[in-house]
Amino acid sequence: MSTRDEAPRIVYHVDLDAFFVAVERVLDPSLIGKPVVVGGSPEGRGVVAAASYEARAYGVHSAMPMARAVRLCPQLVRVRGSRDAYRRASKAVFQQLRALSSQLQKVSIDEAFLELTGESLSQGSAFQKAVRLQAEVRERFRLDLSIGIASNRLVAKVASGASKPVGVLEVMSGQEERFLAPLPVRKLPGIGPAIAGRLHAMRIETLGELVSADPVRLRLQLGREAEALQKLARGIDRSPVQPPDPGVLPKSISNETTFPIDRSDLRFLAAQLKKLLHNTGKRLRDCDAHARTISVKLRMADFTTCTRDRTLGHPGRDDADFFPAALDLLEKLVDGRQSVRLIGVKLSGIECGAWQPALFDG
Amino acid sequence: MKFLIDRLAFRDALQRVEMAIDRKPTRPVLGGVLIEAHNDSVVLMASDLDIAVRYRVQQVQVDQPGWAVIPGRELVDIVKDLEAETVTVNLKGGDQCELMAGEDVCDLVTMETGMDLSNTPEAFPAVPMLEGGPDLTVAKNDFLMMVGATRFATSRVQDNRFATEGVLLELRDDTVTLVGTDGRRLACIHRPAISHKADRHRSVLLPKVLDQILRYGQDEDGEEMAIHFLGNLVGFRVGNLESFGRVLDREYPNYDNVIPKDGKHSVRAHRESLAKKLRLASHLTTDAAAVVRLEVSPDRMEVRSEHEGRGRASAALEVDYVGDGLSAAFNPAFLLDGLKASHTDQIELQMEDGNRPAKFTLGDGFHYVVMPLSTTG
Repeated sequence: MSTRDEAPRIVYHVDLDAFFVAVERVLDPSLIGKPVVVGGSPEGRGVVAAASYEARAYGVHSAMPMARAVRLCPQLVRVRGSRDAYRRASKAVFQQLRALSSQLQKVSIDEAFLELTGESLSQGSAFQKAVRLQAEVRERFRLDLSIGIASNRLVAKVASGASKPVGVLEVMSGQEERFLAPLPVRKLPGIGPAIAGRLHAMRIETLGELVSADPVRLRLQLGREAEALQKLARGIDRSPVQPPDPGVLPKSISNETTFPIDRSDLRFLAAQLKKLLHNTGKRLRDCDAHARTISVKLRMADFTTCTRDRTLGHPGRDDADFFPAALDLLEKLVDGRQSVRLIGVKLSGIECGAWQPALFDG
Repeated sequence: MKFLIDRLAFRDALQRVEMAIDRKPTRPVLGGVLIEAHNDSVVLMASDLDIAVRYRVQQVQVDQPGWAVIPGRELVDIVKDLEAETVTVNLKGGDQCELMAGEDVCDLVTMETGMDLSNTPEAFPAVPMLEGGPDLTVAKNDFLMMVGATRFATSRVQDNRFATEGVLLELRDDTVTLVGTDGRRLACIHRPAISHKADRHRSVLLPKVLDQILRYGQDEDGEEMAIHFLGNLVGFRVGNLESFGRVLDREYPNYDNVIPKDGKHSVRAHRESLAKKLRLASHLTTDAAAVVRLEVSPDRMEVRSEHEGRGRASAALEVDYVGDGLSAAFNPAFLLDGLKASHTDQIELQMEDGNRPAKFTLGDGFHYVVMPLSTTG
């Protein structure tokens, strides 16, 4: 193994702070200092797409129904938002990041990993470069960044989260496990509410406790994922920073969930559908694409599976573009005789290029 | 029932009720035309439950009053192809209705018949009588123009959220407004009411009745369109024509909210010149990616398009514009639809920027809002 292979990697995780709101504030500086949200109308089925730190102080967070957000913070300023403006701002900032390294992997409109391993340090240390980058982006675009620096993607991501807002946090190579140990388990990418609940039942609250947990007991609770999770909790992650293969779009994006007990009430199913659609929609938007077809799948209590799909008159990109059709498909699929054990949604006909946004809020 | 009728008057009357004959009737009677022969006139009626039409013909000589429901499609087609100047319609014994024109004779099997005009068929949907004065009157030409200015923008498919397949008819104080939208573009036009009973009214109409009025209203005598609000129906009367349309009971979007106030950029253009350039550029677009980009600089607009693998177009026209430039992409069909419905030579486009809704002023009180295209990838 060469010396270079043994040298620790340098990975940045760059995250634009309250990005949609920040862009709106560039477009309209009167929004600065106010509790601002971007999203659909509270009268419709609008949800919060992004919230300013001032709004978050009232308990408002993204994916929350807009009507609830307005109740929590009556003085909330709502902006409908312009995805085009966000896309342009995101492109411009990422272009600036590419000046540091061509090894850039965009993970969403406001997040990217940057591999600086092997890059010359003549212009300063990784930390100094990050601070400079932050200042340059601030000056050029009036947007704030948080940057996590570590020897791998996982720890860099956790570090950027810990440094927010407008922070730079470097976790030195070899210190990964110590950095992660005191953090709550939910801070680790890959641990969602379900796994966190099971860990909580085992009285495991921090990543340090996860590392020192009995592997056999853990495996009994979490199954095959146990070992991998312990490894991640130690801060071990060998995943590469992968620049995208241009022009390759997924054929479809889907998401499904199985209920702990079979359910038949339409309101519950519709709420689940909305959640799943939000996740698939987010992935679609992260690809910067739009989709023509929505499918809804139900698996009934007797394991029969039925699927219905609909091609929209205009390709959609936002949750509100798909939800009415998805709800209609769900209503057609639910026959009232059988309860449902699984619900899924799929977006297909994915393409990029021109698309027609809607006039009315969702 | 027996009467002699002018063939052309009969043909025209049948054309007016034809749109209300159900093509795929769930009940046979919905595919029929109800003919009532009164002493001085013949009244034709049809209803498919979404639209109902009543039409009175006076060029008749009634020998024996009565009524009959006759298969609609066949009746329309036969009368179209008869050649004599007059047609005798005679309800014979049994269930036969004879149509006689010169030497040509056709017998149609009736669906129901009766002699007593106060006791018309139960199975045939009731077509309301327009009694009393109308709730609203509008100049006929104004109303027909309003329908033409909004109908095209309605949605062709049913939306789950909003009744966008319908046309909104609104009365506010002395102003009548029609609105059509498919959620991507919206056409809205205001005209003064001639008279009205209430100060406010709002109905969303299935567009079929408006299509029917637009097609035949012009030929009817009279300068006014009388409008009656009848709960779940709206009735229109002009000349001898009475048309009724079903009202949609779903929510209509708040159209006021999406019509932008005056935008930062204002561009005035000659309607026909812009339409020509748009048609030219639209030859190099595809159905899947129908995009034209308008690039506006002082006094000049360029309309650009590109069809990958086929070529690109750039067409320029003179416009009236002062500003630091505007660039926006649109579906050319949307723009051409609006320009076709426009009734002015000079149109105005107002926009805050290339990503926000564009407001076109296409005539007096006629606004057309189009959401520009966005680009992904």
